[in-house]
Amino acid sequence: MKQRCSLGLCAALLSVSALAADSYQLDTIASDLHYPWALAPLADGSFLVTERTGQLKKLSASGETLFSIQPALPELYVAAQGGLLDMLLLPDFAASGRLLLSYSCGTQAANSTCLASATLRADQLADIQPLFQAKPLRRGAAHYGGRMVLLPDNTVLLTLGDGFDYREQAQNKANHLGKIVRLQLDGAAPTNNPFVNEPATAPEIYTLGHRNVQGIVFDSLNQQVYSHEHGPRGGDELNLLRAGSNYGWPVATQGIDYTGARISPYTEFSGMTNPLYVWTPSIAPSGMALYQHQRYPQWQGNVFITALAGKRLHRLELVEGQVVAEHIMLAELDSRLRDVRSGPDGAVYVLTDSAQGKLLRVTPP
Amino acid sequence: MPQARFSFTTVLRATGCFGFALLLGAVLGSLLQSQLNLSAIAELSGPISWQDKRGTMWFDLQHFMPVLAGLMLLPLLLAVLLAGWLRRRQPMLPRSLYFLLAALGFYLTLLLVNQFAPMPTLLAANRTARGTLGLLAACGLAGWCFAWLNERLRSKP
Repeated sequence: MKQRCSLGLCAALLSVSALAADSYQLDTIASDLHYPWALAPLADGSFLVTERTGQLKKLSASGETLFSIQPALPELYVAAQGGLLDMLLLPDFAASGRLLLSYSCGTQAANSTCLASATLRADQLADIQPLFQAKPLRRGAAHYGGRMVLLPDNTVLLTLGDGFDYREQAQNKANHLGKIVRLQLDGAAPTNNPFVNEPATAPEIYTLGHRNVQGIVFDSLNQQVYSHEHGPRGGDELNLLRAGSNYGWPVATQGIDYTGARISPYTEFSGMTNPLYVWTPSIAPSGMALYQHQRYPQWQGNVFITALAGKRLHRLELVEGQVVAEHIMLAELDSRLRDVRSGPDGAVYVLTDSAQGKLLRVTPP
Repeated sequence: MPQARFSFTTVLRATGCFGFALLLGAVLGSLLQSQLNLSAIAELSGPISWQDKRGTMWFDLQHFMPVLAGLMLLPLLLAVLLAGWLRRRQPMLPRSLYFLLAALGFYLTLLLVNQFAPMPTLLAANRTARGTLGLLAACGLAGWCFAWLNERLRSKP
């Protein structure tokens, strides 16, 4: 059943304050990154950074490049929105060096989102094992999703995209287009996935009806998963994920096509879950971090979202799963922002998206 | 004294005919896009009410049609200029030449646009063979309409 706008929800939405500009301190850590895509702050203050063009870099706390390697990922396909995407450090990473890498794979005519495991030893990536490939393969280099988050049961949520030209497939449970999939660390579908017993359904599916999901976080305090996704022209969404839910694309959307055409007459639809929050016009959300560090209590529980087209860092205050305030940061940079993470020191770290991409450190004043 | 080939009246008439033909092509293309989108959604959602269909078509005429007209403008202009030039040299060439050249011009435009656009396919209708043929037919009809209208008005005393 479609979640309707309850009085409480409406009140919460109405009480969202007008976009407020935040004050903060900004430091540039590094400025020689080539289309950086994902960031992983490490416990010792250093950073791992993926670059869409295929490099994995380690930076010191002061931003010096400690190493830059080009992992031999099977069938890596670098073009337009595709390339090396996200990385997920496994819980034993400090001891084992184990991590997961998402990337686009294949060729221009037949490509997809892939997931591989690998082990980082000193400055080399070894034991690269392909774990998962989204099916079917598609044409064109757009909408790969590619973000990951680890759940407490050691399963991984991997976000995927609809491949742009295949939007209707986001409603087709037989494939992975426009889905978020839940996988074991060996790439297999967990036996308790929501559709695992449905015939003619991809067992990896966790949620469906997505367009291009490039932000996902797990809220360990409330045991909830939030994701955001690119809408078309308008209709970017923040969603609270529930296993088995349908998030509507392309049947229910508040966006229209880039050409101005209406994709669907419906902004909501029975049986499909409404977003928690919508951005129209689009901000093109790309990265996401949930702040749960003790150092800056004023940010505690806030969700940080980087925007590509919007060229801002959005800080959302959530109360009982509803957005009650939105704050704007980094607008003065006028830069596309790709990823955001919270560091072990309590600071928030942001990647800009360009051929001279930067790693920025943001702290309250 | 021989009559000037391109008098002010000739150019004005041709411009008016061209504007009408372009509008016709864009309106047809827009209605086609609406129908294809509605049909795709109906397959997922079940029947769509007439009110929603009408609202979508009107929305697309307001927002998508101008974009489509912009995309059709140059190929249609080049097509009618080329077809007119060819028919002056070879008067036995049929009026359908306008249709063919306009459709071909728009096909090349779509190829070019998709090559440089950030997305694989700019126009949703262009994702399928059926939709692509429909768009080409809309632009082709615009070319044919220009020729028919222009010739009809020219033959009037």
